[in-house]
Amino acid sequence: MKTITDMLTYKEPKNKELGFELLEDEVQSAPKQSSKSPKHPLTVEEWNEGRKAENTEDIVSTELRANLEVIRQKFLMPKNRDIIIREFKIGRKVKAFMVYIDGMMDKQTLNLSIFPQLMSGDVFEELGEECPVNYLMENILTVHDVRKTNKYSDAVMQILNGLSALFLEGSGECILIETRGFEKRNVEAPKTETIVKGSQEGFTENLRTNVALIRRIIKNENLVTEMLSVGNANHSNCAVMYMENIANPKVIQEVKKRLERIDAAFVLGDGMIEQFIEDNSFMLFPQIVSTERPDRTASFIMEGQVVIIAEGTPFALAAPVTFFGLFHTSEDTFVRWPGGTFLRLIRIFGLFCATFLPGLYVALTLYHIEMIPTELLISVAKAKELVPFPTLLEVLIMEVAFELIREGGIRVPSVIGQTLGIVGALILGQAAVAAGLVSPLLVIIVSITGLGSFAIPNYTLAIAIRIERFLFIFAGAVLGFYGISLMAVLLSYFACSMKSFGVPYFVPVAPKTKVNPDVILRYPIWTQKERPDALNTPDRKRQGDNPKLWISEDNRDEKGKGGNT
Amino acid sequence: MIKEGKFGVHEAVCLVIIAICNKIFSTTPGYVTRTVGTTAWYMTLISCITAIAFFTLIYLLLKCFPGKNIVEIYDASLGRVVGFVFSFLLMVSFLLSVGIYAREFTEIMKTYALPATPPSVIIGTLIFTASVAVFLGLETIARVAKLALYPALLGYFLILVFSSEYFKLHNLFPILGYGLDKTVFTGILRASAYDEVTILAVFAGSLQGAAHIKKAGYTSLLLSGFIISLGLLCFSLVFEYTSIQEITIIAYILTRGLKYGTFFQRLDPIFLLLWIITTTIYISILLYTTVSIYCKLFRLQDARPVAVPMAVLAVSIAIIPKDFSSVLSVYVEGIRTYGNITFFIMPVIALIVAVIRKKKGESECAD
Repeated sequence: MKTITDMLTYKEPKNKELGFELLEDEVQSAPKQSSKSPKHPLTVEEWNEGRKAENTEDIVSTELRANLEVIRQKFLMPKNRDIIIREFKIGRKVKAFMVYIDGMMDKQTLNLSIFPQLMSGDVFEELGEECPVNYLMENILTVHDVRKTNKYSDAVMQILNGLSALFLEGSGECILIETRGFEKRNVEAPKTETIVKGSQEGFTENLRTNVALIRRIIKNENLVTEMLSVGNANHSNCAVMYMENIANPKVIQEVKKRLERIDAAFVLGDGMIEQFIEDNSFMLFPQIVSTERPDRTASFIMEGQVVIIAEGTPFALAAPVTFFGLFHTSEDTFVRWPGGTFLRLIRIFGLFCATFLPGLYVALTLYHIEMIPTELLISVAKAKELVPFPTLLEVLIMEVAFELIREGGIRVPSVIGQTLGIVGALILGQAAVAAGLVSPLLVIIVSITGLGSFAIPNYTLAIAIRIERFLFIFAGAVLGFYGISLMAVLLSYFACSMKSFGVPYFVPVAPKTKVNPDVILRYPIWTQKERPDALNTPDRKRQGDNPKLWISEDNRDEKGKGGNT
Repeated sequence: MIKEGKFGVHEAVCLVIIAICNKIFSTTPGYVTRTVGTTAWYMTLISCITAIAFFTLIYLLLKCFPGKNIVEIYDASLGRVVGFVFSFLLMVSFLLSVGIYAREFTEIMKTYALPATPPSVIIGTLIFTASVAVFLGLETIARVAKLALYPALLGYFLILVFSSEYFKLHNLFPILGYGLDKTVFTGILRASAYDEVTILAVFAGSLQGAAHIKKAGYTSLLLSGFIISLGLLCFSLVFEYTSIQEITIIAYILTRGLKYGTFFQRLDPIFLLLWIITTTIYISILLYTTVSIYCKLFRLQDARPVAVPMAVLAVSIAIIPKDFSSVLSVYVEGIRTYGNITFFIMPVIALIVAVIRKKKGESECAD
């Protein structure tokens, strides 16, 4: 009853605003990310009030026994068998214990660099009046990264991240020692974005490795890496990377805001994060670009986009993104501009084939036969003569079979997968034609459609196109060209209404913005002097006014030589 | 007031060009040739110049009331009651246009492409798509218009270039047609063929100031005049004017007759795709304009609840005409003849009243 009432009654839209928009004057109006705190200094009363409000149960005790008990409770010991609590005496005097997770830490570091020093008899020989925790951090622990905390929650979180926590008798703080070391995959060539010319490095599942791969490419002190935790239960780490003076502060804030406000128990990897932070969940097209390549990620950062790298998957996300950006690959930049332009045109042709070809075939053969040239019509008629199915069913059989082959090829082991693809495509198609189930022409059409969808460089976009293809097949079957045109306009409406982090999806064409000569056609690299206008970056210049300074220098030298002679 | 978003000069030009030039694919060339004979191609230029003159007056009106749209201007200039009547008539004109053009399109589709499909299916799906566009907003329609215009123009000019093989210069003669006076007079009367430029006045708040409106208006009118005139010239060069008078959809027949070699023949699929896409956008623009005027008229905050009832009204209007001939002879001709009044004459009246009132010291128009 309530549903029916809701359908019949008008309700004010919940969100009257148009959502996050990146407008022209946003850079100026955006609040500056100042290092100074905007808060006024606290008074003594305010400080004491704040202390009272703090959860005293979360504060590390000065009694070692109490700390040990809390840690055991927090990690559900003794049920939890992979949590190790190593009790010992520092310098044979002060009782202490170290907590870490088996398999998450580097045993060599613990065995060779930490325990021998701590358990040596002369540890506290030079200890004066100072705090033992500070003394240990400054004089004894020869590890590259140590810090202290007085909160159990912080200690527990860091232990879960692979650090070791050292608790001392009589100290209300514990020392967190960087001992992370777990099994990880080596850097290998990317599997989903292979290219002929260019870098052959891909991301791994390790966050630190991925961040380092980007740092290796962008050697700039303004490259910022902020670490955030997502997932209320699994506390997965993710890095937000951007160039401080290039990325729009509004976009950075928006990305961080969306990440911080994910209220879900389990968030793993870029795929889940993408779904939580994208603007329009019900649209087919991707609104955040995902890449497996560090070089491409670095170029996104240098363009002014904000990159998110999540723990556990070898991919990085970049936002905002436009439709035309989804056709770009690293190879476009590495090959000369005529080659880059040609490759992009081929991809767009592939997109057209992948989207429209089967639908147009259905529309032509069902509704507009008179539009087919006579010779071709005879071929089509001959081919279809022995096929018992109606055209729509015939196309659907082939398309579904193709999708099955593709999906099956991905799921089975790689060696069999290749074989399955060949067996499926060649033998099954041939057998279907021989059995008179489908016409040979249709096999050609489905093959070209498949090749077209393989030419689309973005996997998420390719999936969207595969779904849209079926919509066009049905539209063509129901209303011919009219149906296909209506469906094209309808999908264009939805696509054009989309925004990616405030940037319209079809920018710089619709709406028109200042065009950098690298949208569909790719001009020579030295003409691409500015960053995309739609990203509204504080620093628009990508290159100097004369990126090929050597030309003017050579001319000057020539003139100089001429003058001498 | 409803939030319509912002769009730039480029989008506005594309929006208006699609709205005006879509007529070249419909029955208009045949009807114009029946009226003025071989002079259709330059008669439309006279219409274009007349429309430019009217648009100049509309622009002056908009300049008098910076930041206001035509509905607010009617209220400010003519008072709430008369302003309401003027705005309501404008809305009705747009609504009638939606229904009549949807019906004209449906009849042509039935004749040439979908003979077995019931008209209600074609009208229903067309208006449904337009309603979706209304839900998504003006920015979206403007962007799709911008995206669609490039391939549409490319296809259109390709068809014209391919038809050059069949040009016969003597088809243009007699160059003065049925007489210069008739051509000029018809040209001035048929300025309503360019009346869609008025949508710029409806969406004045979405464009950034009068300077942008001026630029968008003049550019779109000049380009539209060029596109339509070139098309009519090609039609006249390919077919004798007596033949054009008999053909319902001349552009379709032209593309169907093209033949280059044994395989490359019959370009009507290109024509159909272009025509359907541009018509769908055109109907979306008109329906959105209707809904927008209605919302502004009754000061509604949200356009979406109005979209479906207005779409139902548009479908109802579309199914009123008895047959195709009555659609052409009564309704389309009626819009062409009387469209000038609501689209051009009423803003001029508002301008005159604003100027007179200004003399009384209420506005800045006297300057």
